[in-house]
Amino acid sequence: MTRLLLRVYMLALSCASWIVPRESRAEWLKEWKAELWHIASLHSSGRIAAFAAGAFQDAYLLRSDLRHADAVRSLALGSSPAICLLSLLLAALASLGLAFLLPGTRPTLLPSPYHDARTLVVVSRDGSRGTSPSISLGEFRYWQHAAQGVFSDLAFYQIVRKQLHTGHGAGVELSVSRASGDLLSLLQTSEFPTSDQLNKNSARLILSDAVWRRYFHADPHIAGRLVFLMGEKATIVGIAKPDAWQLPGKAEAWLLESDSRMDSLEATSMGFVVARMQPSVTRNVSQDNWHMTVPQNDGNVAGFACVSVRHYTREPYVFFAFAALMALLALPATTSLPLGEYPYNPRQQSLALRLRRWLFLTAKLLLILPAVCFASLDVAQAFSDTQSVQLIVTFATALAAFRWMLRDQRSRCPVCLQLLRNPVRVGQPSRNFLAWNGTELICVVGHGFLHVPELPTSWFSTQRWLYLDASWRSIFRPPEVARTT
Amino acid sequence: MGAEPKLSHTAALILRAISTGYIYGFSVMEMTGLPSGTVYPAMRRLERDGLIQSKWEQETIANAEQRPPRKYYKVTRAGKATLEATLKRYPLLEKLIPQTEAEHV
Repeated sequence: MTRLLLRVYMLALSCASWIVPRESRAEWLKEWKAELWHIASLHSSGRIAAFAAGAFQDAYLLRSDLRHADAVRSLALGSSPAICLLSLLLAALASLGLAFLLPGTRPTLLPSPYHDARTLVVVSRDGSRGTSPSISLGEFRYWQHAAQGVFSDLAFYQIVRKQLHTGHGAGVELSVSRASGDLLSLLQTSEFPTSDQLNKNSARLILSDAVWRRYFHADPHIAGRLVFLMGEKATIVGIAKPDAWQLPGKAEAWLLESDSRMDSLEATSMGFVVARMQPSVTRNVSQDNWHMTVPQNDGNVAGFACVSVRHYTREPYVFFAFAALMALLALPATTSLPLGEYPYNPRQQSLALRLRRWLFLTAKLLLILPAVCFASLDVAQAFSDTQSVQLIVTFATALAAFRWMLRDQRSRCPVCLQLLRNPVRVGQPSRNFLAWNGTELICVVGHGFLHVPELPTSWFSTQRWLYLDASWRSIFRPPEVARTT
Repeated sequence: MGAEPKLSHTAALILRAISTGYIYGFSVMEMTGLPSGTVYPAMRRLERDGLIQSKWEQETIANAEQRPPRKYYKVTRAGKATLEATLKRYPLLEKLIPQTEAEHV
């Protein structure tokens, strides 16, 4: 055989090697070239041509095998219980991470910045939700003198929109919390500038971190600057930390009015009242809400709710628990609750295996709950009515997640917890008599079949698992091969 | 799950050939009479299923004889067990490729 002809066959092998996936190409070509070299030294040209032609078939089949193996491997990976739990864990961590990043949800995850938050209460009139102003300034003034047995300290604030002139004719409209001067001493927090920095003789303004960065370019020397709020002078005394404000009403700045200015405001102005409960009232009581009745000038008695500040950070979780409970109650309307019939088989269903199956279901539930909780909190921040949106999102997401949890559990092998595959339609309703028709799924490892009836009947009402005994095992691949190839 | 996989007659023939000492692809082709497009894919699948394993010849040996190194195959322990079970299904295989031909290679 001539050297030229050998080169032609080698070139043909190189062409065939392009059919082979890159990761296997070099070794495949090396083997075929070595074989060809040996054959060329012994056999005729016709035999060599037939041999070289087989290379194309081998390359094509190797490519098909590798692709099929990849597809089966990814399918096996998706059916694995570990991957299922890992995905849920990642979802929970992602929603938790996002909740930490969003300014609206972060305070619910962190401890309250206010000293003894349980005794710090927001007073609101009965019937109001505590999130809208319901106390008049006149009532506040009355309580300052008359309710000292209940409250050790009281402060009043109202959320107003005010035009802030930042200088050079520029102005921005901000949500300002206009408060009595003792608000910060009442909160007892390090998140706001300390009281010794504050001059109480004139109106003092504290900016939120976001406003300071956005409109004042994070000027480090801003303290002491005089600004105008709707024509009134105020001195900027400092910057509040990002999570400082956890009371009702969204505020971007805090205007601490002087006592004379507060006295000049109309008694009918509505706002919020924050108060510190007397230790004697709250001692030995673990609750977060108190009810207060106050006699009115007209002889009637008005009721007020004193809600602990701690309650506001817990409120989203109370809403979540309520919506999740509603979803649980609605679950039977969307899917059947039984997980199917699994006949007792001591060989294939040991106590450890049964326990593992229930632990897997519990783990899914434990991971779904935080994922749904934090995801609903995150989504609700995008809307103004966060509470309603949180309720709706939690209910819908929890219902879908619980439904998926049960359906996923039902479609797994009770022995290896892999997802069952190869669904096959069995029987026809019109041709059955006391038999069943529906779908049959199989465990690829060979643990058994799952029979899911299409129409529940009195003799076949729910899905039924059929264990396969050892005589069936010869038709299945060993577990490690079945799962990975 | 210790059951051996069921082999086709062709795969069993190739496994038998390797077990009797035909340890590279072309010698298996010569022994079985099967074309290269059948033998090499079958050997690759047998290797994938752990019934045979391959090993490249040492470069120094091949260089000394001024030829490219070859890829050699040998039957694994699982392959031997499978072959034993398969020979019960295909008893003629032992007559087609007697064990004594091992010395042929």
